[in-house]
Amino acid sequence: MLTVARLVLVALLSIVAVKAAAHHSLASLFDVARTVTVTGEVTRFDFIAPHGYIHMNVTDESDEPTVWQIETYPPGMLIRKGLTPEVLQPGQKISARGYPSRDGRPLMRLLTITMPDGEQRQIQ
Amino acid sequence: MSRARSRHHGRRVVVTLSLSAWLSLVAAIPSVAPAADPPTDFSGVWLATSPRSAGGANRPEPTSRARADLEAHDPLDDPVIRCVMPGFPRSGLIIYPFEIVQTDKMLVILYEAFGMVRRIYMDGRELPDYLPPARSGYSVGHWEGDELVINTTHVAPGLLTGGGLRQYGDVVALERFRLRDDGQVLEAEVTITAPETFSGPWVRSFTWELDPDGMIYESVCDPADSRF
Repeated sequence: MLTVARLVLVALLSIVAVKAAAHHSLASLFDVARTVTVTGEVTRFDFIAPHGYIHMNVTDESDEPTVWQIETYPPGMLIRKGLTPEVLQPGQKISARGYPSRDGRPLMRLLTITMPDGEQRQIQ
Repeated sequence: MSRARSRHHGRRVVVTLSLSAWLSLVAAIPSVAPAADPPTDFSGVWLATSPRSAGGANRPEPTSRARADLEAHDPLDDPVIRCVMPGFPRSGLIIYPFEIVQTDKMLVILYEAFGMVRRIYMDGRELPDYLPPARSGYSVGHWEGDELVINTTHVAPGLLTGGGLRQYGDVVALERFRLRDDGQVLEAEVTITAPETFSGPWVRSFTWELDPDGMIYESVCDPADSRF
Protein backbone atom coordinates (compact mmCIF):
# COMPACT_ATOMS: atom_id res chain seq x y z
CA MET A 1 0.00 0.00 0.00
CA LEU A 2 2.86 2.28 0.88
CA THR A 3 4.41 1.53 -2.49
CA VAL A 4 1.21 2.39 -4.34
CA ALA A 5 0.87 5.62 -2.39
CA ARG A 6 4.47 6.52 -3.18
CA LEU A 7 3.98 5.78 -6.89
CA VAL A 8 0.86 7.93 -6.99
CA LEU A 9 2.75 10.74 -5.28
CA VAL A 10 5.61 10.47 -7.77
CA ALA A 11 3.13 10.49 -10.66
CA LEU A 12 1.31 13.53 -9.32
CA LEU A 13 4.57 15.39 -8.81
CA SER A 14 5.62 14.55 -12.34
CA ILE A 15 2.35 15.89 -13.69
CA VAL A 16 2.96 19.14 -11.86
CA ALA A 17 6.45 19.22 -13.34
CA VAL A 18 5.26 18.82 -16.91
CA LYS A 19 2.01 20.75 -16.79
CA ALA A 20 3.44 23.75 -18.59
CA ALA A 21 3.96 21.51 -21.61
CA ALA A 22 0.66 19.67 -21.30
CA HIS A 23 -1.16 19.89 -24.61
CA HIS A 24 -1.88 16.20 -24.89
CA SER A 25 -2.02 13.66 -22.13
CA LEU A 26 0.47 11.40 -23.93
CA ALA A 27 2.76 14.09 -25.29
CA SER A 28 2.70 15.94 -21.99
CA LEU A 29 4.30 13.09 -20.10
CA PHE A 30 6.36 11.52 -22.87
CA ASP A 31 8.72 12.78 -25.55
CA VAL A 32 7.00 11.35 -28.62
CA ALA A 33 9.78 12.64 -30.88
CA ARG A 34 12.24 9.96 -29.79
CA THR A 35 12.37 6.43 -28.42
CA VAL A 36 14.54 4.56 -25.94
CA THR A 37 15.10 0.84 -25.41
CA VAL A 38 15.84 -0.82 -22.08
CA THR A 39 16.51 -4.47 -21.28
CA GLY A 40 16.05 -6.07 -17.91
CA GLU A 41 14.07 -8.32 -15.63
CA VAL A 42 10.36 -7.98 -15.03
CA THR A 43 9.62 -7.44 -11.36
CA ARG A 44 5.89 -6.69 -11.51
CA PHE A 45 3.09 -6.32 -14.03
CA ASP A 46 0.19 -4.07 -13.01
CA PHE A 47 -2.59 -5.25 -15.32
CA ILE A 48 -4.91 -2.34 -14.59
CA ALA A 49 -6.94 0.50 -16.12
CA PRO A 50 -6.60 3.15 -17.32
CA HIS A 51 -2.96 2.17 -17.93
CA GLY A 52 -1.01 -1.00 -17.32
CA TYR A 53 2.50 -0.80 -15.90
CA ILE A 54 5.40 -3.21 -16.34
CA HIS A 55 8.07 -2.76 -13.68
CA MET A 56 11.61 -3.75 -14.66
CA ASN A 57 15.03 -3.88 -13.06
CA VAL A 58 17.46 -2.51 -15.62
CA THR A 59 21.16 -2.85 -14.92
CA ASP A 60 23.57 -0.50 -16.65
CA GLU A 61 27.39 -0.40 -16.76
CA SER A 62 27.57 0.65 -13.11
CA ASP A 63 25.83 -2.59 -12.12
CA GLU A 64 23.33 -0.56 -10.16
CA PRO A 65 19.82 -1.67 -11.10
CA THR A 66 17.38 1.07 -12.02
CA VAL A 67 13.67 0.43 -11.60
CA TRP A 68 11.89 1.35 -14.82
CA GLN A 69 8.15 1.75 -15.21
CA ILE A 70 6.80 0.89 -18.63
CA GLU A 71 3.37 2.44 -19.13
CA THR A 72 1.05 0.73 -21.57
CA TYR A 73 -2.60 0.09 -22.45
CA PRO A 74 -5.30 -1.12 -20.04
CA PRO A 75 -6.09 -4.87 -19.85
CA GLY A 76 -8.58 -5.19 -22.71
CA MET A 77 -6.22 -3.69 -25.26
CA LEU A 78 -3.33 -5.82 -23.95
CA ILE A 79 -5.40 -9.02 -24.15
CA ARG A 80 -5.95 -8.30 -27.85
CA LYS A 81 -2.17 -7.95 -28.23
CA GLY A 82 -1.59 -11.20 -26.36
CA LEU A 83 0.21 -9.49 -23.49
CA THR A 84 -1.34 -10.82 -20.29
CA PRO A 85 -0.04 -11.74 -16.81
CA GLU A 86 -0.07 -15.35 -18.03
CA VAL A 87 2.65 -14.69 -20.59
CA LEU A 88 4.51 -11.81 -18.96
CA GLN A 89 5.70 -12.76 -15.50
CA PRO A 90 8.19 -11.56 -12.89
CA GLY A 91 11.68 -12.95 -13.47
CA GLN A 92 11.46 -12.86 -17.25
CA LYS A 93 14.03 -10.93 -19.25
CA ILE A 94 12.52 -8.56 -21.79
CA SER A 95 13.32 -5.44 -23.78
CA ALA A 96 10.98 -2.50 -24.01
CA ARG A 97 11.10 0.25 -26.59
CA GLY A 98 9.02 3.36 -26.20
CA TYR A 99 8.70 7.09 -25.71
CA PRO A 100 10.83 8.27 -22.77
CA SER A 101 9.45 10.50 -20.05
CA ARG A 102 10.04 14.18 -20.62
CA ASP A 103 11.59 14.77 -17.21
CA GLY A 104 14.20 12.03 -17.48
CA ARG A 105 12.67 9.69 -14.93
CA PRO A 106 12.98 5.95 -15.77
CA LEU A 107 9.50 5.86 -17.25
CA MET A 108 8.40 5.20 -20.81
CA ARG A 109 5.29 4.66 -22.88
CA LEU A 110 5.60 1.24 -24.46
CA LEU A 111 5.67 0.85 -28.22
CA THR A 112 7.34 -2.54 -28.76
CA ILE A 113 8.17 -5.33 -26.36
CA THR A 114 10.69 -8.13 -27.00
CA MET A 115 9.53 -11.25 -25.20
CA PRO A 116 11.90 -13.72 -23.45
CA ASP A 117 11.91 -15.93 -26.56
CA GLY A 118 12.99 -13.03 -28.74
CA GLU A 119 9.57 -12.42 -30.30
CA GLN A 120 8.84 -8.76 -30.87
CA ARG A 121 5.32 -7.52 -30.31
CA GLN A 122 4.13 -4.11 -31.35
CA ILE A 123 1.78 -2.89 -28.65
CA GLN A 124 1.13 0.67 -29.73
CA MET B 1 -42.95 -2.56 4.96
CA SER B 2 -45.94 -2.59 7.39
CA ARG B 3 -48.88 -4.86 6.75
CA ALA B 4 -51.21 -1.88 6.19
CA ARG B 5 -48.87 -0.31 3.63
CA SER B 6 -48.43 -3.66 1.98
CA ARG B 7 -52.21 -4.07 1.56
CA HIS B 8 -52.49 -0.55 0.20
CA HIS B 9 -49.68 -1.28 -2.26
CA GLY B 10 -51.48 -4.44 -3.34
CA ARG B 11 -54.66 -2.49 -4.12
CA ARG B 12 -52.70 -0.09 -6.29
CA VAL B 13 -51.22 -2.93 -8.28
CA VAL B 14 -54.68 -4.36 -8.96
CA VAL B 15 -55.97 -0.97 -10.14
CA THR B 16 -52.90 -0.44 -12.34
CA LEU B 17 -53.18 -3.84 -13.94
CA SER B 18 -56.85 -3.35 -14.67
CA LEU B 19 -56.20 -0.01 -16.28
CA SER B 20 -53.33 -1.32 -18.38
CA ALA B 21 -55.39 -4.31 -19.46
CA TRP B 22 -58.20 -1.99 -20.54
CA LEU B 23 -55.78 0.25 -22.40
CA SER B 24 -54.21 -2.66 -24.24
CA LEU B 25 -57.68 -3.80 -25.34
CA VAL B 26 -58.42 -0.33 -26.71
CA ALA B 27 -55.03 -0.15 -28.40
CA ALA B 28 -55.59 -3.51 -30.04
CA ILE B 29 -58.62 -2.31 -32.02
CA PRO B 30 -56.68 -0.40 -34.72
CA SER B 31 -53.75 -2.76 -35.20
CA VAL B 32 -50.37 -1.05 -34.95
CA ALA B 33 -47.98 -1.76 -37.81
CA PRO B 34 -44.70 -3.33 -36.61
CA ALA B 35 -41.64 -1.08 -36.84
CA ALA B 36 -39.61 -1.51 -40.02
CA ASP B 37 -36.39 -3.46 -39.73
CA PRO B 38 -33.29 -1.26 -39.51
CA PRO B 39 -31.76 -0.94 -43.00
CA THR B 40 -28.22 -1.63 -41.75
CA ASP B 41 -26.97 -3.96 -39.04
CA PHE B 42 -24.21 -2.27 -37.07
CA SER B 43 -24.18 -4.80 -34.26
CA GLY B 44 -20.89 -6.31 -33.20
CA VAL B 45 -17.55 -5.47 -31.63
CA TRP B 46 -15.65 -2.72 -33.45
CA LEU B 47 -11.93 -2.10 -33.06
CA ALA B 48 -10.63 1.41 -33.73
CA THR B 49 -8.37 1.67 -36.76
CA SER B 50 -8.03 5.46 -37.05
CA PRO B 51 -4.50 6.79 -36.68
CA ARG B 52 -3.83 8.79 -33.53
CA SER B 53 -3.53 11.87 -35.72
CA ALA B 54 -7.27 11.55 -36.45
CA GLY B 55 -7.92 12.80 -32.93
CA GLY B 56 -6.79 16.34 -33.59
CA ALA B 57 -7.23 16.57 -37.36
CA ASN B 58 -9.25 19.47 -38.79
CA ARG B 59 -9.63 21.12 -35.40
CA PRO B 60 -10.91 24.66 -35.87
CA GLU B 61 -9.37 27.66 -34.20
CA PRO B 62 -10.50 27.93 -30.56
CA THR B 63 -12.37 31.00 -29.41
CA SER B 64 -10.50 33.43 -27.18
CA ARG B 65 -12.31 31.97 -24.16
CA ALA B 66 -11.34 28.41 -25.05
CA ARG B 67 -7.76 29.46 -25.83
CA ALA B 68 -7.42 31.18 -22.46
CA ASP B 69 -8.74 28.07 -20.68
CA LEU B 70 -6.43 25.87 -22.73
CA GLU B 71 -3.41 27.88 -21.69
CA ALA B 72 -4.49 27.82 -18.04
CA HIS B 73 -5.27 24.10 -18.14
CA ASP B 74 -4.00 22.17 -15.16
CA PRO B 75 -3.82 18.40 -15.83
CA LEU B 76 -4.41 17.84 -12.13
CA ASP B 77 -7.92 19.17 -12.63
CA ASP B 78 -8.69 16.51 -15.22
CA PRO B 79 -11.44 14.30 -13.71
CA VAL B 80 -9.88 11.32 -15.52
CA ILE B 81 -7.13 11.41 -12.88
CA ARG B 82 -9.87 10.61 -10.36
CA CYS B 83 -11.08 7.85 -12.70
CA VAL B 84 -14.16 9.81 -13.76
CA MET B 85 -15.39 8.75 -17.19
CA PRO B 86 -14.29 11.34 -19.77
CA GLY B 87 -17.62 11.07 -21.61
CA PHE B 88 -18.61 11.74 -25.20
CA PRO B 89 -17.44 13.25 -27.55
CA ARG B 90 -14.13 13.60 -25.73
CA SER B 91 -13.91 9.82 -25.60
CA GLY B 92 -15.27 7.03 -27.78
CA LEU B 93 -13.88 7.96 -31.17
CA ILE B 94 -10.29 6.71 -31.32
CA ILE B 95 -8.13 3.97 -29.80
CA TYR B 96 -10.60 2.02 -27.67
CA PRO B 97 -13.21 -0.43 -28.97
CA PHE B 98 -16.96 -0.60 -28.47
CA GLU B 99 -19.82 -2.99 -29.03
CA ILE B 100 -23.07 -2.02 -30.70
CA VAL B 101 -26.31 -3.73 -29.70
CA GLN B 102 -29.12 -2.86 -32.04
CA THR B 103 -32.89 -3.17 -32.02
CA ASP B 104 -35.46 -1.39 -34.15
CA LYS B 105 -36.23 1.10 -31.35
CA MET B 106 -32.84 1.62 -29.79
CA LEU B 107 -29.16 1.25 -30.48
CA VAL B 108 -26.83 0.87 -27.53
CA ILE B 109 -23.09 1.56 -27.76
CA LEU B 110 -21.09 -0.16 -25.04
CA TYR B 111 -17.61 1.31 -24.83
CA GLU B 112 -14.70 -0.52 -23.30
CA ALA B 113 -13.02 2.57 -21.85
CA PHE B 114 -14.52 3.47 -18.49
CA GLY B 115 -17.58 1.31 -19.24
CA MET B 116 -19.29 4.20 -21.01
CA VAL B 117 -22.78 3.45 -22.34
CA ARG B 118 -24.67 5.50 -24.89
CA ARG B 119 -28.35 4.84 -25.60
CA ILE B 120 -29.39 6.01 -29.04
CA TYR B 121 -33.17 6.31 -29.16
CA MET B 122 -34.36 5.30 -32.62
CA ASP B 123 -38.11 5.45 -31.93
CA GLY B 124 -38.65 8.94 -33.31
CA ARG B 125 -38.83 10.67 -29.95
CA GLU B 126 -37.59 14.19 -29.40
CA LEU B 127 -35.49 14.87 -26.37
CA PRO B 128 -37.05 17.24 -23.83
CA ASP B 129 -35.59 20.73 -23.65
CA TYR B 130 -34.40 20.10 -20.14
CA LEU B 131 -32.33 17.07 -19.23
CA PRO B 132 -29.73 16.99 -16.52
CA PRO B 133 -26.43 17.41 -18.40
CA ALA B 134 -24.65 14.08 -18.80
CA ARG B 135 -21.01 13.23 -19.40
CA SER B 136 -21.94 11.42 -22.61
CA GLY B 137 -25.02 13.52 -23.37
CA TYR B 138 -28.32 12.17 -24.65
CA SER B 139 -28.77 10.89 -28.17
CA VAL B 140 -31.48 10.31 -30.74
CA GLY B 141 -30.92 8.65 -34.08
CA HIS B 142 -32.60 8.08 -37.40
CA TRP B 143 -31.87 6.46 -40.74
CA GLU B 144 -30.98 8.28 -43.93
CA GLY B 145 -30.89 5.47 -46.43
CA ASP B 146 -28.36 2.98 -45.11
CA GLU B 147 -26.69 5.64 -42.99
CA LEU B 148 -27.23 5.95 -39.25
CA VAL B 149 -27.42 9.56 -38.11
CA ILE B 150 -27.06 10.29 -34.40
CA ASN B 151 -27.60 13.64 -32.78
CA THR B 152 -26.17 14.14 -29.29
CA THR B 153 -26.94 17.06 -27.01
CA HIS B 154 -27.14 17.87 -23.27
CA VAL B 155 -23.44 17.13 -22.78
CA ALA B 156 -22.21 18.34 -19.41
CA PRO B 157 -19.58 21.10 -19.56
CA GLY B 158 -16.04 19.82 -19.27
CA LEU B 159 -12.93 18.91 -21.20
CA LEU B 160 -13.41 18.29 -24.89
CA THR B 161 -9.86 16.97 -25.34
CA GLY B 162 -7.31 15.44 -23.03
CA GLY B 163 -5.02 18.33 -23.85
CA GLY B 164 -7.16 20.87 -22.05
CA LEU B 165 -9.60 22.24 -24.63
CA ARG B 166 -12.88 22.87 -22.83
CA GLN B 167 -16.52 22.95 -23.89
CA TYR B 168 -19.15 24.90 -22.06
CA GLY B 169 -22.30 22.77 -22.32
CA ASP B 170 -23.27 23.84 -25.83
CA VAL B 171 -21.91 20.80 -27.69
CA VAL B 172 -23.93 19.24 -30.47
CA ALA B 173 -22.37 16.13 -31.98
CA LEU B 174 -23.72 14.80 -35.26
CA GLU B 175 -22.45 11.33 -36.17
CA ARG B 176 -23.00 9.69 -39.53
CA PHE B 177 -22.17 5.98 -39.47
CA ARG B 178 -22.00 3.73 -42.51
CA LEU B 179 -20.58 0.32 -43.39
CA ARG B 180 -18.20 -0.48 -46.20
CA ASP B 181 -16.05 -3.40 -47.37
CA ASP B 182 -18.93 -5.85 -47.13
CA GLY B 183 -19.75 -4.85 -43.58
CA GLN B 184 -16.24 -5.36 -42.24
CA VAL B 185 -15.45 -1.65 -41.85
CA LEU B 186 -17.44 0.97 -39.99
CA GLU B 187 -16.77 4.58 -40.77
CA ALA B 188 -18.11 7.75 -39.26
CA GLU B 189 -18.07 11.41 -39.95
CA VAL B 190 -18.51 13.28 -36.70
CA THR B 191 -19.34 16.97 -36.74
CA ILE B 192 -18.91 18.69 -33.41
CA THR B 193 -20.45 22.09 -33.01
CA ALA B 194 -19.56 24.05 -29.89
CA PRO B 195 -19.84 27.80 -30.54
CA GLU B 196 -18.33 28.74 -27.18
CA THR B 197 -15.24 26.66 -28.04
CA PHE B 198 -14.82 26.97 -31.81
CA SER B 199 -15.51 29.52 -34.47
CA GLY B 200 -16.83 26.76 -36.76
CA PRO B 201 -17.75 23.07 -36.83
CA TRP B 202 -15.13 20.42 -36.17
CA VAL B 203 -15.54 17.75 -38.85
CA ARG B 204 -13.75 14.52 -37.99
CA SER B 205 -13.45 11.11 -39.66
CA PHE B 206 -12.94 7.75 -37.98
CA THR B 207 -12.89 4.06 -38.91
CA TRP B 208 -13.29 0.76 -37.08
CA GLU B 209 -13.00 -2.87 -38.17
CA LEU B 210 -15.36 -5.64 -37.17
CA ASP B 211 -14.00 -8.17 -34.69
CA PRO B 212 -16.37 -11.08 -35.39
CA ASP B 213 -15.34 -13.17 -32.39
CA GLY B 214 -14.35 -10.26 -30.20
CA MET B 215 -15.62 -9.17 -26.85
CA ILE B 216 -15.47 -6.10 -24.67
CA TYR B 217 -13.48 -6.31 -21.46
CA GLU B 218 -14.12 -4.50 -18.22
CA SER B 219 -11.94 -1.43 -17.92
CA VAL B 220 -12.73 0.13 -14.59
CA CYS B 221 -10.21 2.39 -12.97
CA ASP B 222 -9.46 2.71 -9.27
CA PRO B 223 -8.37 6.22 -8.26
CA ALA B 224 -5.76 4.66 -5.96
CA ASP B 225 -4.05 3.20 -9.04
CA SER B 226 -4.47 6.21 -11.29
CA ARG B 227 -1.17 7.51 -12.55
CA PHE B 228 -2.49 9.63 -15.43
